[in-house]
Amino acid sequence: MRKNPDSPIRQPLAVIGVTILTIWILIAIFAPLIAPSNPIAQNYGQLLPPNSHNWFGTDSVGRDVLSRVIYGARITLPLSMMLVILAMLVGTVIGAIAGYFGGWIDAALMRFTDVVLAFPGIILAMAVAAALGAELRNAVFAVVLVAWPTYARLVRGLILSSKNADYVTSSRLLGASTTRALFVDLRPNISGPVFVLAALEAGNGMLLLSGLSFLGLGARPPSAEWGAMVSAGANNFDKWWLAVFPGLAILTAVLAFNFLGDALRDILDPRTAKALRE
Amino acid sequence: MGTLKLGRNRLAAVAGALALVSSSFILQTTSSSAASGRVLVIDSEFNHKTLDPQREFEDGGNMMDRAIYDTLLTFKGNDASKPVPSIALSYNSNADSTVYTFHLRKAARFSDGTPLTSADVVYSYGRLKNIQGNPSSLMAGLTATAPDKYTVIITADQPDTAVPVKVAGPEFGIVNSKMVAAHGGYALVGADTKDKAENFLNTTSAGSGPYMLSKFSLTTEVDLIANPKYWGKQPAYSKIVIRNVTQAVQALDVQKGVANIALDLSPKQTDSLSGVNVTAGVSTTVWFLYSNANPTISSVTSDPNFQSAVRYALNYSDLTAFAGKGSIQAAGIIPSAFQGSLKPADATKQNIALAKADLAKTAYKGEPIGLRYWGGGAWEGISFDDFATVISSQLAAVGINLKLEPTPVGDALTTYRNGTDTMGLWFWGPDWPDSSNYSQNFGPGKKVGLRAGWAASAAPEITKLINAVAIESDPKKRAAQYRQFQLDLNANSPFIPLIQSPAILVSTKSVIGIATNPIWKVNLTELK
Repeated sequence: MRKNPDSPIRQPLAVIGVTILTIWILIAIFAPLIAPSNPIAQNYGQLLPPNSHNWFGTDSVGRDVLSRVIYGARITLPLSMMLVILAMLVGTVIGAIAGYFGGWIDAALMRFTDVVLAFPGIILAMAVAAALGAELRNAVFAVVLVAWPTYARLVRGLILSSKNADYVTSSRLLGASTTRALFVDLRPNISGPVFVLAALEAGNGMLLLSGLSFLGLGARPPSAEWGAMVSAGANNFDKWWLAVFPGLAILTAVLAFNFLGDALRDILDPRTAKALRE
Repeated sequence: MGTLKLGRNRLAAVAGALALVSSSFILQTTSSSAASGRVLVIDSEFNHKTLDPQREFEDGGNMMDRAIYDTLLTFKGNDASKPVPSIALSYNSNADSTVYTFHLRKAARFSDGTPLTSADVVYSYGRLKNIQGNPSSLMAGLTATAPDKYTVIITADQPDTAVPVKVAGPEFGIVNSKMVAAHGGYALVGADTKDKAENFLNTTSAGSGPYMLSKFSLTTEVDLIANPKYWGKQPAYSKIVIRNVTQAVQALDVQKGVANIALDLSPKQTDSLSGVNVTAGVSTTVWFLYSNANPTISSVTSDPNFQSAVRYALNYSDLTAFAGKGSIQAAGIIPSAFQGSLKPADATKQNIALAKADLAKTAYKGEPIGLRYWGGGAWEGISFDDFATVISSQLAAVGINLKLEPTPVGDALTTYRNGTDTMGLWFWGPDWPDSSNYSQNFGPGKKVGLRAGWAASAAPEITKLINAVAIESDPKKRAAQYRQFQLDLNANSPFIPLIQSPAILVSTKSVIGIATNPIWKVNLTELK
């Protein structure tokens, strides 16, 4: 039985997650200092296997794969976080409006949410990204478009369960506005679960974004983006280093986000925490 | 683009995965069919849009239709310069190359047993001309008539020395006129709306070639079976299975023997293969860059000084090294195998100082210039993405900032054909194996010229040269004119010829007689 599950020290996976994520953030920040060469410079022979000069080998136009993996963190990590924040904001606003006002507004917003959820995420994201053109900006927009409904449904449920609570009713009777009720009275109750969901979804967002780049709907050449690099590797099966290293980068970053999400859930979600204590 | 791969790589990736899963079944099919005849499995990245011979215009379709439909003349092996008899046993022309008379063999039969006559030839050619599809331009200015059952006369509006090589193309495949007409075919004026035979021709053979179509798909597999009523010698394989497979999977398949031939591997991909035959040569595919000459599209790219800066900024030896073994620099827009092609000494050479000086004469201030190309596409082992990346890097060295615009092939072709791209990276494979194919397309006001924003009035001297070579019947004079045409293009035009790609065919040891051909890549009927 765990006596203090709130302590990150007692959760090794959380420590691992935070450590990996910290390393990747540091790599992203200090990429120009760490990377052995310019990620788009074609300085080496084509398709060289890992060697003493190019630890991760070179790609089909003679670029250093290690440098590209390092610089890839500067694209993938910020964009993954950005898309999670955007999806969280959009989903929270829509869910809060639907849950608080109820009636036809709730019905209309939730049916729209259902429509978006009815599409397989990757297919809808592909369609949107393809329609808008192959750009990372468009890929982020596409992922946000398929990611927000999860937040909306969660927030709506939380608002529905809290909006008639005595403390909210008392606040309204004292003359609090709708805005105050939502942002001051209800927000503390929904922010924890929303953050937990965001942390858990960050990994999914990163996978979806990389997936779009893999399909040629995200990063444009010559950008060093992990998904696009894996795609290049898929066209050269026998040159394993092309796909393995960016693939490992995606794997570790997604794993770190998932570990972090689990830890946050343990800390911020009282029901899970209680279950763990028992 | 003359012959263009239209199959999407992503779709091909799925097909490739399916191909891997189904490989064991193919092997079973191969072994079980071996009792009655040999089965040949070919891996290819599909680009055919149809197998209707009068509509198809891609080299994948050329390869398949070459096996299904006979033509008056044809080519042997990798020589696409000398037409040899096929349905026509002989032909002759008048002095000014305006009237060609073909004498047909009498033994030829379609796969349903119907005799092939001059009426079928006239019907097929009329359909090609009047359908107004992609290859209809091949019949522009030509008229076919049949004075008797086994004679065909082709009359050209003006001297056309390319008629013998044109009629060897699969677009001139001879269809069974009665059968096609009975299934919606129409060959007269108005065929563009009245002809409804395409679907029929995508399911049923109406030809006299050594093979018949038994399965058709644009995305997965095309099967051909030997024509039991073929008038000539029966082909070596009783069945040919052509599958849509990505390059990477092709390498695995041919290495494992799951496929007998891989059509789309790059020189680098062949390096790691063993125990297979690699046929390497120079393709007639010319890759080129263009800088739109239309000032309304871009005041920068239309500036001849900017075009010159791009031309001299490129390191052509690095480009050929990138493309791999077998590739050569394209000295001009006409590939090295054709009459009037330029010598290597005539090719543009990198001159950074000149490039910078020319760039300084322009109003260009380093803003991004869009370079459109087929995103994710590859041709003859060369990835568009990688090629564009290398070009972008070379131009950046002189201060030209390209913004790469990889675009799905359908959209990329649309903007390319509309002439709205600032810069473009494409390739051209010959529609017919003659230099006239290039002078008639790359001049000012011509098809590709207009795509590059090069108006008909832009270069009167080049236009004059194009008109002169079109009616010149003396081969030596023609060759000189073609050379001058290309030198003029290299000096002042929106086009920058880059490389001729390598032609690589990989086959298992069991396949004999394989040769690359610029029109149909592989002649399936020649394989042993």
